[in-house]
Amino acid sequence: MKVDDTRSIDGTFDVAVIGGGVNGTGVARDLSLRGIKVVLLERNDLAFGASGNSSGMIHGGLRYLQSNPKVTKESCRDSGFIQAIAPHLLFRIPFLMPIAAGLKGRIMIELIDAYFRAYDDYQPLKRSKTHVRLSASDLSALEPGIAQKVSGGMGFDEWGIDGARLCTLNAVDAKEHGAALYMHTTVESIARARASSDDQREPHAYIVRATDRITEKKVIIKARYVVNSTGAWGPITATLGGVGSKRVRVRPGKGIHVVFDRRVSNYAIIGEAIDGRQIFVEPWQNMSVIGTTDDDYYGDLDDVVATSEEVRYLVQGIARVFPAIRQARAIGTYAGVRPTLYDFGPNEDSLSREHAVIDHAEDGAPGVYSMIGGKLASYRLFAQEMSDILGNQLAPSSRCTTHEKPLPGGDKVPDAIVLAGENEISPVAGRRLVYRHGSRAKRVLQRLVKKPRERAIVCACEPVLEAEVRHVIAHEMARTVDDVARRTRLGLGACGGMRCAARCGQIVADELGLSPLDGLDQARTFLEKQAKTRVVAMGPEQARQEALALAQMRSTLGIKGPDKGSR
Amino acid sequence: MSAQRSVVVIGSGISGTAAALAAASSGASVCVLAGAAGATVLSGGALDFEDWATSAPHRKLSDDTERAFLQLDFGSLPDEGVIVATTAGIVRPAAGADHALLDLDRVGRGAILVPRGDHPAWDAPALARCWGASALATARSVTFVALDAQLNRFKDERFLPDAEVAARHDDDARLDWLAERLREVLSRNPGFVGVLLPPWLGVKSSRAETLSKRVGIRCGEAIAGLAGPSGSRFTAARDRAFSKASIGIVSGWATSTRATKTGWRVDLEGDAWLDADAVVLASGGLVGGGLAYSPSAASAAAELPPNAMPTIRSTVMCDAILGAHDEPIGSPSTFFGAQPEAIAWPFARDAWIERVGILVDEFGKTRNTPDGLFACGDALADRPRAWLDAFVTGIRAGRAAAT
Repeated sequence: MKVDDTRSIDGTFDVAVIGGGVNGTGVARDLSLRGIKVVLLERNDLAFGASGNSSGMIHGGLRYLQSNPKVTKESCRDSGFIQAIAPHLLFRIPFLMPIAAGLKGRIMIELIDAYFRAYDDYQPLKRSKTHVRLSASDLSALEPGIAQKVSGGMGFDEWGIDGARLCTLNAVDAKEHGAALYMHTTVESIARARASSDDQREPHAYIVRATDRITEKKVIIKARYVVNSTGAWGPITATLGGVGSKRVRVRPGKGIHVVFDRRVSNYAIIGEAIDGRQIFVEPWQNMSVIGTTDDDYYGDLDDVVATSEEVRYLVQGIARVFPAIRQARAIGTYAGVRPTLYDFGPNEDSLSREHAVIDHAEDGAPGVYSMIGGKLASYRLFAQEMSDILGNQLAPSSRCTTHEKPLPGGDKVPDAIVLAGENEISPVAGRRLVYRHGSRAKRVLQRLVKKPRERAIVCACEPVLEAEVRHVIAHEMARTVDDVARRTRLGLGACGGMRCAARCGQIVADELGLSPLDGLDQARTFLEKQAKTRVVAMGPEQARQEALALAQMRSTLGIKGPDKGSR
Repeated sequence: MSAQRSVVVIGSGISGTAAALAAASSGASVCVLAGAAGATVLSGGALDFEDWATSAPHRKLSDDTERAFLQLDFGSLPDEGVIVATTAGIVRPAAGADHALLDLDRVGRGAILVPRGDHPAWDAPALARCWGASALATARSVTFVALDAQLNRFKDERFLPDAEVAARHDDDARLDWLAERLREVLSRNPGFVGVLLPPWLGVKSSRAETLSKRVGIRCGEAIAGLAGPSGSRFTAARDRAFSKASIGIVSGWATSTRATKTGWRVDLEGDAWLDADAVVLASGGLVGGGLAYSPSAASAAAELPPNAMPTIRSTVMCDAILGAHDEPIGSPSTFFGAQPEAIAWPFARDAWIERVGILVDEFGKTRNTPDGLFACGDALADRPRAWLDAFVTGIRAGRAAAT
């Protein structure tokens, strides 16, 4: 490993965490709560990768019950912890699993019933209800849109979550406990620091060099330990550290989701894709989402986009069980890459979502660790495992408290309707605000006392108040329109940002002291990115809207257009 | 029967209007078939030949085209073009503008008042900052200042769409009230050279001129995004021009058009038809509904694959050939039709969601059909989706249809 003997250092830390996904922010929070000095570096934004593009569930790992019940139990227990620390962020998603008519179906229903009985043992861990067996008529009463020919089905209980909010809250809490966070900052090298006389007690230290991708400012960090929690980017990060990627191997699995403009069903419904894989349509926040695919991915990790064939694969599968999906209005897609543990041979679905910590002492880099694998539902546990290893060396008397201490806003969640009335905002806006911010919604609304105009709704689809946009820039480290969208869901609704992106760009520019033209440019970049995720799910009506959106943007904002090199 | 030629124009947007006016002034008897609101009604009022961001906006119209434009009495086309502000925060050039828009070149250098009322969608300070930073504004020494003003006469107007507020300003008394409020601000804060308002200045005709007289300095609108009043003002101007030129409007939908022994027949919904010597397809593009995108997957049953159909078709059935890049559309690329990411912006240079349409010759006559079928406006292939281009192609097709 190379030695970096720079003396101009921006900060010295105990641990440098690379990657702002749920694992990275989880570790940063855990260590910060233990009083350990942490810096987190993220190449894009918090939750940019798999964490912000998952199915948005803190599920109990039902599918692992057969292969590895331990995973199921851990998932369920941790789901309970997450509910305790961020009660505002979780919402119940009741699932229906229709089972086809016919002899096979009648046998299947017995097997599945037994399977769920086993799952029921773990459900109390996450405060979920036990499963119910449903007749065909129960099913059609609960969800009239389900295709008729079923022999019955199951109902079971899972929890939804906004993964981007989860990462944000972990990051904010870490920051409030002393962590330094650098977003949009790419790590370029990790090298051993030259040992100096005052470093006698330190067995090792690393210099991490990075560049802010927006300001192009260099950042040089010194840290005793380095955690590589960059998910699918893991092998790339390991290479930067000179430890090679041989032991940091992931099997990158791309998963896409199609988003609809509203809730098209009351319940999540499980269906089968043409190849027999389980897929679902779920009511998620204020929309419906269908997911998901799982395909080996070897493309650009910074530019993962759903394709129209993936969309058709999902819609075709869901249409068999819920035909009305073809009439529903798809408003976009999102895609991410799972950092599954590497294995050559098995098909994507049977790969484990388990996680592992790799100690690079063996590679000649003591104090460098890679976190591989994992899933949203067990992020806290994985972060704890990583933090325990570091905590034992850095602060042996401390212990993990991430399962007890509420995340920011997770204490005493206020009544949204009362809060909305007190602050003269619409109940819907109040509801959404409290969902995202819990008790901190009060802090957001506190702004209105001095600046009543911030009551204005910037994004009508979600809706998002101007006060919230300013809050996430000031307190949640958002630096672009895209960042604001990730934290507030601004611009991710039915209008695709057409009504709010330009305005949001101005607010970002105002808060961060940028030129108004930079704000407009951010808006354009956001709108073009959104269009890219939208067209692949385009149906006949959407095509008209797409053409209209284009005409509208051409007229009022101007677009870079294909000739100007926009991808 | 006289020798007067008869022309049916399918579509009453900007290109259909131009075609009808041109055909009528060439001596034809004209009937316009009006379906519903299309792209023209959604346009913001900037008059472009093509995308302003990528091409020079100025171009001289031929004299008779300009005459037709003036006959419409909808906007102005100064030789040097206009400079207008948009509600998205851009200051941009255009070849011309709806009368209601504020042309910054006509205002001249100085400070422009951007009144800030209790209207959450109109973020005056942010817009003023943004317009003020634009190169076009700084080059002209134009600045923008946001000041509080009472703009809502009634409380409900806080959340009203722009076009509805615009409709209220058709009323003289209401316009007087607005002028009075603006004068109040200006008397406390003298020195402004113009007033830039949200897109609120009338739906029957532009109220900018009247308001300017009453306020004492030039007043005008910013370009609306969606649902602005400019489209309504166009519709009113069109109806006035049609009635002067004795052009009839029939409301209804054309389902198909075909050549007969003596001319052309347009079949309408509900077992009716119109016969004419020539037909002009001014039925619009994807936005207007003249073209339809219909991937097979959308109409398929739960079980696939369906048959592979062409993904884009004209909603008025006819023998005209659809294409892009001057070539007919080939067969669909997949079982389900086209791959949208291959055709739709912003993926490729060949984003033919904006280019696909009817192929015509230089006179606007459709290819490979008998004489007498023409197309114009957004229905055309390979044309910029722009107001003035639609107008010019409409004039061309209308004139050719009448002779």
